[in-house]
Amino acid sequence: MKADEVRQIAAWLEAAGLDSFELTTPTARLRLVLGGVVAPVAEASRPEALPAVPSLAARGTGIFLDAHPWSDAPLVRPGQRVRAGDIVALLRTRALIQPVTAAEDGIVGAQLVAPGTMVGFGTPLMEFTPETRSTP
Amino acid sequence: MTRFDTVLVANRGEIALRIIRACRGAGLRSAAAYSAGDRGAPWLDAADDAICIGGAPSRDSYLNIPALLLAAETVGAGAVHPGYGFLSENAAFAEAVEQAGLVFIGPTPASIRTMGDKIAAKRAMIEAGVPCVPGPDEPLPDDAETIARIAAEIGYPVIVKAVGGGGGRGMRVVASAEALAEAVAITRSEAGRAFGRSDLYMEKFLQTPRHVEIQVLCDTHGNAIWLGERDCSMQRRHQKVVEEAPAPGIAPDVLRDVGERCVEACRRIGYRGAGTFEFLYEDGAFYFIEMNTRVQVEHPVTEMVTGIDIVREQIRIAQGEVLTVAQADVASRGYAIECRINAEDPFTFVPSPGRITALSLPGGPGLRVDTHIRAGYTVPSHYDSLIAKVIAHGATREQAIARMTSALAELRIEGIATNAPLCTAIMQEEGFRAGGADIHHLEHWLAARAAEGSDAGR
Repeated sequence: MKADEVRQIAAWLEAAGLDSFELTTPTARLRLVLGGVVAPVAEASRPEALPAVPSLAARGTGIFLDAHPWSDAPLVRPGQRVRAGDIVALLRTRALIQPVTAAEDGIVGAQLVAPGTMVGFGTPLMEFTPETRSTP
Repeated sequence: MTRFDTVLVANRGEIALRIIRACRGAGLRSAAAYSAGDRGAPWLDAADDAICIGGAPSRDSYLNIPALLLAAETVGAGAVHPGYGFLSENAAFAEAVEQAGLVFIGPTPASIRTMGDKIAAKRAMIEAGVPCVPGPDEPLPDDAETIARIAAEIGYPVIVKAVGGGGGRGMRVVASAEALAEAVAITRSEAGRAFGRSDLYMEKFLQTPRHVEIQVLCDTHGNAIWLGERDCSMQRRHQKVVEEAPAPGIAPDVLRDVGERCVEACRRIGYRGAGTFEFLYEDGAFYFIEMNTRVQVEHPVTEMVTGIDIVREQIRIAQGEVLTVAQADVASRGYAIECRINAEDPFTFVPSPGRITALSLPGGPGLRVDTHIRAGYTVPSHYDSLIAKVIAHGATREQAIARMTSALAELRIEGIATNAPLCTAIMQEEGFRAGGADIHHLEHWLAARAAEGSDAGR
């Protein structure tokens, strides 16, 4: 954020009769206190500990399945190349089955949780190495 | 009503831990639904199960109804406890929980909806004989003469409020008849712009009231009881800082009358679970302001003087059981005071999230600390700054204050700023010590203190 943007926010705060403001982004935190010190608090805080290996995580809750209940064949196998949007696993909540999709192109690695395990938002499910699509 | 063996705790922080403990006490399993911002938080260890339901922002997690319902299904929960704040007074959530075949630990969606609408709530209270702030229980008409007549009947000063307003917005105090027409016109146009509906209503404006509230418990077998009152007048910007039970200096027969009327209102509206009737109290009279259809932050002071576990009772009621206590068995013993410990600067009130580097909690006779924090825990910046509640009980109010003072001196939280020094100063402050201060007292005292400080060249 640029200094004149901070100045503009301060002016808006003053006009609105507010005396403090806090903005949190994934990489920084800005705190403005009017009539006091203007102190940008730079915090290299990562809210979640990221797994050591690049991985694909659940975006919801459910029982982790590597294959559809009606099929024996796993959706993906370690080493398999997938495209963004491909279904790589399923999360089951009773009768509801939700797909877990790859957010980007890449190569699937080893499973990090056993099928049948309850997982939540952010649980790493399988190793995943992103690949940048080659531009033609 | 359905029996259940697992409760999904749809909240965070100290109240999540409070609910987890109550579940364990009742022999039930608890599953904590948490956000990515609370990963690794201390209360998750206390729960039998914990499941991350979404990102740190509340709208992605603690306010995310579909994610909470899926989590409840995933962990096999049969009931959901909403705690306070977040979705606790959201009728749509209560309804969604029940439609999913789960038990909502709280009142019916219809009760939540009625109490959430200011005029509907007031009408229900008037019908039940609960004293309300003078003023009609319907929106103001358009006709200026009729409005002037209503104001004259109520008596000045009056306050004009937007039906859809709240949180101190969309309201205007009118001191005399001359200022009325303009105030109504301005509030109406503001309300239309800010809340999308220009309906207004008018009430008497009380100048120096206290905030006194009545705790009730109702089961599904027609039993309703009140558990005495709490005085929560020590407020800053409508946020309670210190609460106590009983309320100092209020005649027992006046309290009994209002308490019984609250119980009667519960019976009439078919209320279920724990609830709080909030009143303004001025010159010996009570005036209903709103009903909170959930457990409150300050419920421990009532638990300390009555010995009744309110959260446990909530769970029992949801299981279809009969209340464990009858009105005749409710007795208040001694005095209890609660201080809310917030992660914020004690005098500028700027939030102070961050890592707690050292922690030492107070103890001793008559003392209770409800908290989820521990050394090494990082207070996230995404949520409310409440990190602990210190509750002191004594045979007399003086003893409770002395125990609180000593507890606050013992309390050591390092790495972040807390408002504990403010609480300590309040315990020494004359107006608080005398008992019965009004809802403006704390702000006046803080303003005077700040002015004195700047004179002294601080």
